[in-house]
Amino acid sequence: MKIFLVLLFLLASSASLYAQPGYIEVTAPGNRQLKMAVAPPHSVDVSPDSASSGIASAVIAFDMNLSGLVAAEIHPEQPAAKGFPLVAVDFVPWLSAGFDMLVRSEYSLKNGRLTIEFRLFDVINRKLITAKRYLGGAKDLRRISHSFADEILLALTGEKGPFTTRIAYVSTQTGNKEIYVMDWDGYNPLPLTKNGSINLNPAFSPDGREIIFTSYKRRNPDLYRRSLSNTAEVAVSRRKGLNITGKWSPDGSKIAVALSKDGDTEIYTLDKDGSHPTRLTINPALDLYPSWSPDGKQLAFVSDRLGKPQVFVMNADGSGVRRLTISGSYNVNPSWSPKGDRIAYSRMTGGDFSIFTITPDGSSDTQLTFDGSNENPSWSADGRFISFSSRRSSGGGVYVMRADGTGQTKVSQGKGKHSQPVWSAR
Amino acid sequence: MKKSMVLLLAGISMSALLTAGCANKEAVKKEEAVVPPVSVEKAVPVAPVEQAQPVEQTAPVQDAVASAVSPQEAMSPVAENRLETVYFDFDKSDLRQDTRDVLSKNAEVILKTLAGAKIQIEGHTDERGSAEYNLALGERRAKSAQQYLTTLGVKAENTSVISYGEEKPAVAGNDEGAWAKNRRAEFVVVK
Amino acid sequence: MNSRNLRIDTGMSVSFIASAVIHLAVFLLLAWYGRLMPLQTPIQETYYVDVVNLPTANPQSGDSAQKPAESEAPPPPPVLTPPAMALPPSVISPKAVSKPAMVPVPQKSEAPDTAFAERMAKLERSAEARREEAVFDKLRSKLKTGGSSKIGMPGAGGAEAGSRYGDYIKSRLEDALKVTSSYSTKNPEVVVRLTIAPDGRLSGVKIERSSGDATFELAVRRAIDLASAKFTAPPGRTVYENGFVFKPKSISSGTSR
Repeated sequence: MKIFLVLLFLLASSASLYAQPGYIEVTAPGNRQLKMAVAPPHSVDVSPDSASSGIASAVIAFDMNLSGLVAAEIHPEQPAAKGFPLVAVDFVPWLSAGFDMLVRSEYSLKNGRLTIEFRLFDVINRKLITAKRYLGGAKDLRRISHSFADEILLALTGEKGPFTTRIAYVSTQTGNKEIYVMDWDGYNPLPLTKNGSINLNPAFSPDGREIIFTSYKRRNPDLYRRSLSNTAEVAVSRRKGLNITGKWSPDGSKIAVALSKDGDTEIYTLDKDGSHPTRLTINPALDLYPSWSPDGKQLAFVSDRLGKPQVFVMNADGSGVRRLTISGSYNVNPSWSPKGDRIAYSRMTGGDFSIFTITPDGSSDTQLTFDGSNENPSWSADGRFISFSSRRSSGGGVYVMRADGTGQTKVSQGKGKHSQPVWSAR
Repeated sequence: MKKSMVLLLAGISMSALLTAGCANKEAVKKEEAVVPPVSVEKAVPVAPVEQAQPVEQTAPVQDAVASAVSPQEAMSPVAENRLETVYFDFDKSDLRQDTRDVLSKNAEVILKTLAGAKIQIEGHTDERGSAEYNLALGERRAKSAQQYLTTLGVKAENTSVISYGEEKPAVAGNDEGAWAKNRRAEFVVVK
Repeated sequence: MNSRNLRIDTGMSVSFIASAVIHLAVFLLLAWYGRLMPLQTPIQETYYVDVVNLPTANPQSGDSAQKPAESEAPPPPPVLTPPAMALPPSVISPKAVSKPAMVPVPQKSEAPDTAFAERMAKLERSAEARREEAVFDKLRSKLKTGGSSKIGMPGAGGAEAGSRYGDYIKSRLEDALKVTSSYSTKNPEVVVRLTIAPDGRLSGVKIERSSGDATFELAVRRAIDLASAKFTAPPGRTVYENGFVFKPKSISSGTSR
């Protein structure tokens, strides 16, 4: 028996990635943070508008720093560019300043029309890695810069960034809880509802064009659907009682929602127009806050069927219910990652919430936040980041962090309390 | 092109509204359709200036609805004051003895002086816990109060429930004193 | 639209009822119009008129100018491959100007201007470039923590040539990885299959497996890029192909940042 275990151990330890013979091991010491220089864009106009120049480099540096892949730094051209050779880069000064990567750009802004060209160089390899030219309006500069940051991540890691996506959230800026939408970095916050009532739980459609949310505007917590590009707003479910925590299915065909029309709060799926309710949970406890798996085949949800709220998982037809969270006495807000590999949730201990992630099989339960009270985790489209709402001494609001809990950064701006953030798909 | 169309239409609507009051009638009608029937009489005095706008955007319609709600709330205290608020333990919806006593008094008041009145029971929670779970918990509280009133003879069809969860605290503050006052069910006479 | 406007004016003078009817019509029209094209849009769909994917240097074609036969001699200054594309007019000498870059381009129109790229390449081979290269190499070797660059140079051939060449490639890769090494998980590992053409050109890079550390994957790809500039031809002028397992030497170096 012991020998068997030893053998098993040996097998496991040798089952490395290169078990096949003939593979050559390449190792080298050292682990340093990659450094990226972001040079402010150079204007080709006669009378340049220096404000836009600062925006582009600030946006890219912010995005790249939060990615955690590189440490980005806004760094002026060195030596001061004469005539700015966008292609013939003199890499030596960048290399001696310790940079691995360099982002250069030049732009032209005429009559509100913006043309901007970005280039990403590998300083050590002295190569152009990627380059893009964008044409748009002057007001698109932030979005364009985010878009190139997406491209940088694509070039460096093979997967696009989420930097052009948005976050919807609830803000009390006007004194009432209204739904707002902002860029992922907190810029361009715009009110989506202005009904003076209580509005809660926004959720994006998979195409990012619509939002569902719960509003008391007709004296009952009803579920509404609202377009982002115009004011079209329709009721999805105005059933008696609660119509809360609606979530669009990944294919956009259905909406999972908690209704209390049949007594206590249960989870149902509806067609996206609100018709054809199908009840998924049947028990005398509260069942709410559904979150779809990315393949649409399962739902994580909150139930207090065992006394205290815990996260459960069931099939999309309501079968196969199993408990997911086993530690902690109050676990809520499940959010399934877009890669499917983890489920984020918030756990209350001693009155404060912390964000955790756990695998769908219940293993590797990991606490990500330790400061203040943090709720409502929501994943970015690429699964790299998690947004959440936080109350902490350094300032409350909507925060963003990497999926491992590092890089926690407040993004929401302006007056009031900001809560219940939800991240759009790409 | 689109912009000029918009401007033209806006111009037409302005002239239409200024030249006669007819368009106003339309706006009023439209509004009444969405206002809950309970508050129709009170909703009428809403300033006509606001009613000129619904053609341009949907928000003012909603505003009108919201403002139509407030007169209703303003008129309720007269009756409401006679119906006492009841309180609950943390994360609980079962009725304590003191809660039952107050509910019995409320039932008496309802049966004696409010026969046939529609009463809405509002369930509330304290700020702790998740906002979504608290909505469900608040509803549970309102429903236990409703059930108890029913057993005391109050007609079920005359009561309704709504949960505000932690959204409408009675008192501000984040200590047990405030929390205890916020874990409650209130009784609002709506008609 | 104009005729309606007129009708409103006349309608007013004719009768109140007509006015009411027309205003109702206008209202309905507005309501309908507002539904189709709302006047107030809180969030504009942002769009770019055009996004041009500019050509980038092919990572594998970068060093084709290097002579494959050189083996023992110190590495010649690698030729900096200019990205094949148009330049902003302000930079280049008049004869080099092909197209002004900042003219709004209707769509993907600019094919790589190869003639121009060659001219650029020539410029790069100037004495200036050589001076830079010397500085660059010095800096690069400063980054290296040790190890001779001569380790494991391939022999003239023979039965062991394959493995000796493998050692040589390993040595080049390790030198490069010292420069690029960076990772963000505890024990990252990337397995890459490299194919080297008979002329020493790196002709294939395939990531076979990875532990999923994006930072280390990037470090490995950059190390391969960097090392491949100095690959010599495989012995016997055959295609060399082998798998390489990249790992950081983690015992001495801290992993967290």
